Amino acid sequence: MTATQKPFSNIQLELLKLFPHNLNESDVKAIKKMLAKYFMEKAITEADKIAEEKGYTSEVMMSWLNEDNQ
Amino acid sequence: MKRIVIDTNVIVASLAKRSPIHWIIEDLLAEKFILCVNEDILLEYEEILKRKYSVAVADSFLSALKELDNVVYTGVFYHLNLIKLDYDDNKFADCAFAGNVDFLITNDKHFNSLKRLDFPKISVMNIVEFERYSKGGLTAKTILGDNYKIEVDSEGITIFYGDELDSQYEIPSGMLTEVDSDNYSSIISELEGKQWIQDKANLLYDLAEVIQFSFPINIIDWIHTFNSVAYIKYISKLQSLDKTAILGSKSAINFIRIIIEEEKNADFMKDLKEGVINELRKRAII
Repeated sequence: MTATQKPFSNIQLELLKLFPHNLNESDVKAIKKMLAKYFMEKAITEADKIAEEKGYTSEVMMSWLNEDNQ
Repeated sequence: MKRIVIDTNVIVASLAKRSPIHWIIEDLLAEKFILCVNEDILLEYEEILKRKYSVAVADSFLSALKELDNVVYTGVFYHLNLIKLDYDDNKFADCAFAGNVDFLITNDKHFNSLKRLDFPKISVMNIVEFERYSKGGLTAKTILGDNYKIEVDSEGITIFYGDELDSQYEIPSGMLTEVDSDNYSSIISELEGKQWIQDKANLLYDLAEVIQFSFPINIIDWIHTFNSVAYIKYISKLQSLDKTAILGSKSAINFIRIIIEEEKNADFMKDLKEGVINELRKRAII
């Protein structure tokens, strides 16, 4: 038997369950804002942890500004 | 709101809280500017975030960008190849052009060639310039109105009014960019209700001009703020026109409000808004 791809991800299912009705514009806006904040804070917290581990000081980070990325 | 493109190095260097330029991420989250991106830029953000940090950091950051209302995707219609020294930098210049952005933020010297172009005019700012611009600051000046005077110094603004200009209203610098939940300017909203301001048509616009010039990165919705100013002025004019009739009472004002609501598309509302927009444009506030 071959594995079938589920049509929805876990978060899509969760959101579908939550919102069977149309939300008004300002609710959608507020939820989007909360999601943005959540993901940004997650990125920042994780970046801080890695910075600690790898010894990225503020000087190191500022030196990245002039780096060639390629 | 200002539209900007941010170079990958700046994004990556500003993400961690300990970064001296973390305020850029905070301003992005506070929707103080519009960040323009395209597919190529997002791919580079992702690649370098993975390299310096981790896949999880890159994923979370890109998810945040997807949800933010002030992140705008611009299609690239032209590949201008403006930067000859490093072809990979062209995606930022192309995005800046397609997105009609105000500034491209980078410390990369390859972008200097853009400064010498007459067309397209793409303004490049380094971090130090962007910080000075974002945080803003007041410079001393005096504005003389017909029956008022505005004095600006680094601490704040003082408005002088009254027959001998002997009354004062002080606004500390920190209050100037405050907004309410609809992004209306708090200070303009507060002042518009004051009795002594009613015969000083230009004062609020003068004030807005100082605020916008001194703090170019802010989240004030000038058009709606001044639409509300014009609307209230209109109501009070109606009130003064007919004090003998039922007008003058609170319920009468509400009655007029209802009529105006019903006739939202009427010419006078359109004129009102156009007048506001013209004045704001004339003064380079928007």
